[in-house]
Amino acid sequence: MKIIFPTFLFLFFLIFSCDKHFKQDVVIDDILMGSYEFQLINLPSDVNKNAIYSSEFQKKPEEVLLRFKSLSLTDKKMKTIYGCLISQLKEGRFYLTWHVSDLLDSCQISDKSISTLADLSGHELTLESEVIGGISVSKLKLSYRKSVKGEIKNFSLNYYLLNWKQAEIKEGRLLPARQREIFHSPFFKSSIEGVQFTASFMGKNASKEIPSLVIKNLPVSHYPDLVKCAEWDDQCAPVMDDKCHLCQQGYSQVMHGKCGLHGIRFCGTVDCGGKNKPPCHLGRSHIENEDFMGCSELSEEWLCHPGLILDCSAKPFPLCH
Amino acid sequence: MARWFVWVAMISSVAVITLVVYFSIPVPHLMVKRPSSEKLTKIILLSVNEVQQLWTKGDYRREIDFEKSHCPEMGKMPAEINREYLRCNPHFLQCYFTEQFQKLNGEKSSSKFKIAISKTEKWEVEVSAQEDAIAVWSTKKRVYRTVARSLDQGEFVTPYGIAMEIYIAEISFSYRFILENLCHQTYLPEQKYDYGQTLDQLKKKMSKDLYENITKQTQVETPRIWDNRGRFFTIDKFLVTQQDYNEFLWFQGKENQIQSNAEKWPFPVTNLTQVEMKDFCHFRGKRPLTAALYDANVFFRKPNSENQFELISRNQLFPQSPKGLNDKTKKAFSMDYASWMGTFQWKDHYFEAVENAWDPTFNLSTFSLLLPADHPWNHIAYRTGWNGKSGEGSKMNSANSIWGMIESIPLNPSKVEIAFRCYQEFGEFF
Repeated sequence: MKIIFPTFLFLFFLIFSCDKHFKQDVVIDDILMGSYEFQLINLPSDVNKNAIYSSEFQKKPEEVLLRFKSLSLTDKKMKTIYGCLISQLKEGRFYLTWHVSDLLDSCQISDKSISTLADLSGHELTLESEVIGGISVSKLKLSYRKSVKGEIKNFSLNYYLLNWKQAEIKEGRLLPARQREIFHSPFFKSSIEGVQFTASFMGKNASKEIPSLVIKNLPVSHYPDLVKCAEWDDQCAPVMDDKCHLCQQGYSQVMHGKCGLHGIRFCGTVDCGGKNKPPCHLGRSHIENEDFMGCSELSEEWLCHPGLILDCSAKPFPLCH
Repeated sequence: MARWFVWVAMISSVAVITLVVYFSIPVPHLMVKRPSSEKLTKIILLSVNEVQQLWTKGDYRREIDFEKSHCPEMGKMPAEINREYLRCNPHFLQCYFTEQFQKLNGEKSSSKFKIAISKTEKWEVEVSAQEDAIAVWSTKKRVYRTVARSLDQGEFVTPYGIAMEIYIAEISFSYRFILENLCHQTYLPEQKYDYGQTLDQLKKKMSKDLYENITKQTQVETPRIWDNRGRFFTIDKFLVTQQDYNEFLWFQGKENQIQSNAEKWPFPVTNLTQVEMKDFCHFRGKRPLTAALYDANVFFRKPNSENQFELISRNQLFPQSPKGLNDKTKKAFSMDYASWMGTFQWKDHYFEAVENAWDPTFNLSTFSLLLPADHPWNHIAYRTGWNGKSGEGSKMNSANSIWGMIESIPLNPSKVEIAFRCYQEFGEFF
């Protein structure tokens, strides 16, 4: 009887270890399919513009190559999945590992390693585009060499990024190559306009919820009860991280008049022109005039309702009294 | 020997039982070999594209026989109204994928369709109906779920759209995606715009006596030039419909307030308060249209000339007198009065409410079919004041016969309906 239990365990291990490898591949394909933000770490500056990483550039035993975020859709909720790709150099061999997590800092020890591609010599990660069924799609291409029966052969894996029609690398980030055209909306341009692709596999199985990332608007439009999402000081230096993309109904900008185009941004609508409210402004053309001298009580560019006086010296921005 | 035989038999039995138990567990994605990543990507892309075409273009193949189709949650059928009604209309997808449309070829619309990924390889894809039924629309399970920033979590959540799922039975694979609601809004180009009419412009349109009376008043907005450089606005092409508002009421748990007459669903919702209008727009991730954006739509600055209004009217013969108007002359998704931007319903059976931070007392556009063509209020972008209330409490500023004293008069909702539309502002884009 002693041998039955180990045999049973062995068979289970055998079966589920095969299953594990299969699921790993499925997961990373699906997660990248729903990715919507990429941050490239240690981007070599002297490689061609589409190369994200080459093993030749690895200097440290462990390097994070990229971080990404993906949208997943559970039965009732949406959530963001965070992931990263790590390259490890052990005893002259490279190991690439995909990590995913539903926590913000995805490359920490709490991560789950979901896929390890072992011993990939000469690997290179590039951003390419491909036309599939007439639809232009961006993809990450992982090229590597591997010895097969004593012969070194070239291989590649494609990870499709369906949330990008055409992507480009700018300042270490993967961004949609967007052309602003008249009558076309500035919406995120995915492979198919108006479609958000998700990380479906994780979405169906994920149960853990993350805190809301959307800044909910309070039912007020009066300072100081508004939620501030970005701010620049008089010297045009940012005072806080810009979180305005998280606002539920966009944001409104209040210019303090000292830093041209910038000021303080609040989520939602800011009533302007009324008593103790910031003045309304008429756009950038006025402010970008060569003779623009900041807020001026004599200027028609800053509006207060009839009977109110513009106070340019009010803090933190001009107010109507 | 016999002992060894027993051991082998026992081990084999355990192995067989293990395998039987393992493969009897219904884990579909393990039972069927998944196609390659390239192939699966192609299947997903083409399948989602098929659904997206129906979402954004409606019955673009002209395959549905609307005379013979009956889908109660559509309200009025497109046999009678503009086919714009079908675009980005989740009820259309629901009816289509739950076999409620009769096709011209005699077949029923279906939840299943085929995708050809090569000349020889076709895959059957099904749109899953797995969301809970919503009793006010239908007893059938829903093929979509509304998603919105005002309802859901996550930074990548669209301001407003629907989530759907396709299922590929052959490989037991399902995939979820989101369709944004982009059909009925258009982008405002970045440039300078005019706000308010100058007295000179009014002078051209009015009799001398009327103009002199008006100039004695101060109740005309100050004309201004503004610009949207660095700001991204999208404007609703049509007025908010009753069907749009019904969904908002459902999410608010106000099912008893949903308009019971489905015939009215494709028409503009009216008789709301200003606060209710704002709440609806917020639900969609938008805001009520502003007076400045209203004027940006209906004025068109011709190169090297003064600001001039241009309303591209496709039906000048439409009745200009309120006497000729009734419910039968109303058109759902009317495209008769279009702006240069491709937005519509700027002159219709309704006054249009706007927000106006620059001149708060001018928040109701009276340019409409409700007034005779020669009425002094019936000029593009002419506005008066509204107290923002609905029903019996609704009042607007009116003038007496010689445009003297401005007075507040009650509005009769059965005669003067106030409609609205929303706009959306996005952050700066890289």
